[in-house]
Amino acid sequence: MSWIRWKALVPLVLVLLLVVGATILFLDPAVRRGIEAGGTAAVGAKVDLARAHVGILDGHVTLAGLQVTDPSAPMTNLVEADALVFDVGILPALSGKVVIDTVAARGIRFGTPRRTSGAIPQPSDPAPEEPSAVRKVIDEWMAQVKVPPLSLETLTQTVNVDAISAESLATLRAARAVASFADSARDRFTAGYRALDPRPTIDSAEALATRLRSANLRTLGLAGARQAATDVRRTIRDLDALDDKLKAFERSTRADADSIKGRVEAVGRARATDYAYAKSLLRLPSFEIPAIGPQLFSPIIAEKVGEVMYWVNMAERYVPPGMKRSMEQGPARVRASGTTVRFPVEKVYPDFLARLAELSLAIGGEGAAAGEYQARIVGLTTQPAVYGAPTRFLVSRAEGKVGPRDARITGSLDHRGTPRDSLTATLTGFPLPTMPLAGLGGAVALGDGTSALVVARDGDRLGGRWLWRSTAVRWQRDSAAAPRATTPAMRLVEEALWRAMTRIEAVEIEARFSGSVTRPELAVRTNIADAVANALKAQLGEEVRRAEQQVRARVDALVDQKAREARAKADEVRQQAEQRLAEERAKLEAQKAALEARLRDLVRIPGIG
Amino acid sequence: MLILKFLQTLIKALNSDGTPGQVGMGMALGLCLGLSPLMSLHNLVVLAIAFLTTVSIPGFMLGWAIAVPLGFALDPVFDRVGMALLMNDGLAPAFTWVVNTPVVAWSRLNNSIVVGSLAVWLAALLPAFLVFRYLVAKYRAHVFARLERLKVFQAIKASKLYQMYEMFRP
Repeated sequence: MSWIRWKALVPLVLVLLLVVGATILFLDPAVRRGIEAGGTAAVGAKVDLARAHVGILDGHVTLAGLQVTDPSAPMTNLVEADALVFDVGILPALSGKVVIDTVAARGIRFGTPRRTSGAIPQPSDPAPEEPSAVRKVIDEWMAQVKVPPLSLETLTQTVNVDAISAESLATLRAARAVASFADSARDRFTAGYRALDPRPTIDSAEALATRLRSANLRTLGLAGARQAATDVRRTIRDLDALDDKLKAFERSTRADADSIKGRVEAVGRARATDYAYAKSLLRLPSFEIPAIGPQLFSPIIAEKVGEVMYWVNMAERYVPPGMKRSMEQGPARVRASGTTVRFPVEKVYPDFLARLAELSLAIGGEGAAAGEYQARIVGLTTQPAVYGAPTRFLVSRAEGKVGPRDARITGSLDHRGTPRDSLTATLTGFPLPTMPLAGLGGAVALGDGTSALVVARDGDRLGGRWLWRSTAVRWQRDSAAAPRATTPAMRLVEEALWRAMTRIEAVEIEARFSGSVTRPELAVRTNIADAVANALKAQLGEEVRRAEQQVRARVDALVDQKAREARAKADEVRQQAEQRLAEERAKLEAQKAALEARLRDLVRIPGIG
Repeated sequence: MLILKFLQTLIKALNSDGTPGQVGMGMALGLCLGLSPLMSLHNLVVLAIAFLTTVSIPGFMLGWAIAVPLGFALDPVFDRVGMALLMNDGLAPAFTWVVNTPVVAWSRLNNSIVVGSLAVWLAALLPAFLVFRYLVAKYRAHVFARLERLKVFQAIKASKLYQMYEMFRP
């Protein structure tokens, strides 16, 4: 019996040919429908593609007439492109990889009108909306940057110093630590002294010195004098050995004493921390200029810098560094998706690579951003270590429609090893955001100005600077909101602050961020802070100083006694140890001197020296 | 309707003229299509083997049908087995070759479910073949004679699907 079913061979080959033929025939419409369906699902509004052509043999992929609807404005396109031409590598495609040698984009425009609505039917009972991925990252980042907004409320209230709890004060913790350390240092000294036990040696030396004090050759005899000299020498050696031990013990005791001293000094420093902590509980405003910038603008700037963090996260996720195995969720299918593991290796094609993309973009309308732009991306890949070169990009404005405006964004993503990313973006003459003034019930509309962003990342460390500069600002007071000032005093303060700020015409706000994504540090510098600080000082200087004094007095009352006790105990332990050691050493020195003098007398006797 | 077709396949597979070995091997091969995600390159290879060799086609279909629910149920197991294989440093060169070699890369063997289910199927292939062959032989010796007298059985045997099956009968 044959193992091969020959009669099935021909039908199978025919089926195979049929599948190949159908694929070639229907590939273009399938690609078009796939892009439309996938794009619509991703954007949440209609994505239309007039034509798609896939050249299987030459690797040319052409997409023509792409329109992506703006989900928030269904009669407007978010982006529209006349033609996108991709030159795709055939050989890498056989390995399931996408290698695009060149991308040429023609006629990309933003915000163009649509002939028909691009809205898609919404479910009648939509599921509760989850926060977007961008929102989640921004919220996480903002949770790390906690700066209380500028608050004037407490100034006109009675300062409630009872809110300061003794247990939360660092001074008390430091004082307890000093007392505890002093106790254990005393125990160590007692045990060490007991182990050293200098008394027998000193007493024995004293007895010998006493015995020889009135002795001479006549009373001792020659043999007795020789024996006495030997005893004196041995005892002096014993005293020297004891002296060495005492010195060593003294050194270790001195180390403990120094440590006690350091801890006592820490109690003093802790008090400064407690003053600041207690002050923060009462939310007294600071007159310090560096502190006012963050208080005024931290919420809005943390939000904006959070957006930068989102893109840093995205770069990390989709452009993983190094040659390590990376994991991602498997493809969506009826069965479980599982996990797909990537095995990068050098000198092969990465999973995705666009060697060169040149795009010409146009933003329509008459707005500030309207105009022609050019973008150039080199070496865009999902496996930079495999590709072996960083991704570089440049976006610049070729021609603006309105006014002298300039835009230039350059940067690179180098994830071949430790991630090193950089971004520099400068927009001049563009509309800047309106910045709410936290705690003051108003905002400053920056108008047209300069925005300069510099971000640099080296491994976990992240540093950057975002500068907004405008010479034509408008101050907007939130008149619709409920009045913030509840007392005449507060109204006075608010009015004074507003008067001071509205005199400012040119504003510069600079946010500097550093640290890591998980432990960020944000500093804000602004010339508005100078005006606010001066106005606050003029209006509230005396009141704030009085409140601060109350806070300090309360902290002092809570910690003074404990700190004094701790200091006293520390001093007592240190003095006791020093005094006892000094006494023992004095006795030792005295006995040694007496014995040495006696030895000098003895060695003068002929036959003994 | 689906249940009827399944019964038809079952009866034809178990009572075909093929030897118990041919039916058993057909069923063991068919397990692969049910256990692993259908759109996998290795399934195309298994399908070609089933059609081009003289294993029992109804047996193959029966094995597939049996394994489909099993495949869904065992996905967590396949995921674990697959991850263990993919994370094994000793196998990394082999997987690196697979994912970077033209055409072979389409097999998606770097996916935990695909490689896990394939590994489980390969491990189960020989035992499954032996068990199925034994069961078919026992069935034919003890149950078939009584079943053949039932009218339902005769009706199914006379259907068009059975005639189509005859084309591929070993």
